[in-house]
Amino acid sequence: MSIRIVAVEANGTVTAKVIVPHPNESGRRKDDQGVFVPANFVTEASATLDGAPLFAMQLGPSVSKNPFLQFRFKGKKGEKLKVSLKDNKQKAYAAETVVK
Amino acid sequence: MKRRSFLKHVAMMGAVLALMPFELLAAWEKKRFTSEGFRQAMVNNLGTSTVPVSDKISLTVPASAVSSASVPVEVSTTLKADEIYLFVEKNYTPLVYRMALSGAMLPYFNIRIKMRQSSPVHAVVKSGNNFYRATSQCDVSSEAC
Repeated sequence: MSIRIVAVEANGTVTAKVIVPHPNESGRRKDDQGVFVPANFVTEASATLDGAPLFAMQLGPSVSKNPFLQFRFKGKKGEKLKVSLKDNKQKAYAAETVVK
Repeated sequence: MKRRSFLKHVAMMGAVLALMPFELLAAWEKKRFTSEGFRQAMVNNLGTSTVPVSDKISLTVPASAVSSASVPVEVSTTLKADEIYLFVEKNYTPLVYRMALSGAMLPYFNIRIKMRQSSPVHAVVKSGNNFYRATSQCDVSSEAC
């Protein structure tokens, strides 16, 4: 379970991409035996830049497997971007990167 | 002496609290992610199911998606966006995400989503006290979810 995160600055705008390895099961999919696969998906995500909040979001079961998120913010090279996530089983994940 | 140790204790507690990292703001609100249809999801999230269309919001979805398990959806706007919502009208859970943006954020978000069937996709932006919407149809050729 390692989150891939990259943030690149150009002309004062940072574009960040995050890929979270997660099954993101909606709870409505059936396996080969016809049994519902239990729900297991990312429900919350937030990001900070040098400790200051950038965004906070809630996500539903309609997000794809291995969620891919891309967002933009005003920032500079060398600032520290941190993304925190939580799933419906209350497991918490976080990843950090330095803006390039 | 007792007072001294009590004060020490309080000071330490304060230091620990101050050091706590920025926590996730709001807990997951089940009501927003209702399965009672698109209209109800709009009402639960926005308080209304009628939101005016704005040409200042750009919603990019493929007109036809090969894999309904991974459809890229990009939302951006020239409005000052305080919140962004994404709804897929015909999914069991119409709300895909709700995002609250701080001042440093640019109003842009790109995510990959699952679609149960071909459906209109709606992006709603809250700017000040008003909601605005952009809508786009996406046709899928196989079923996911």
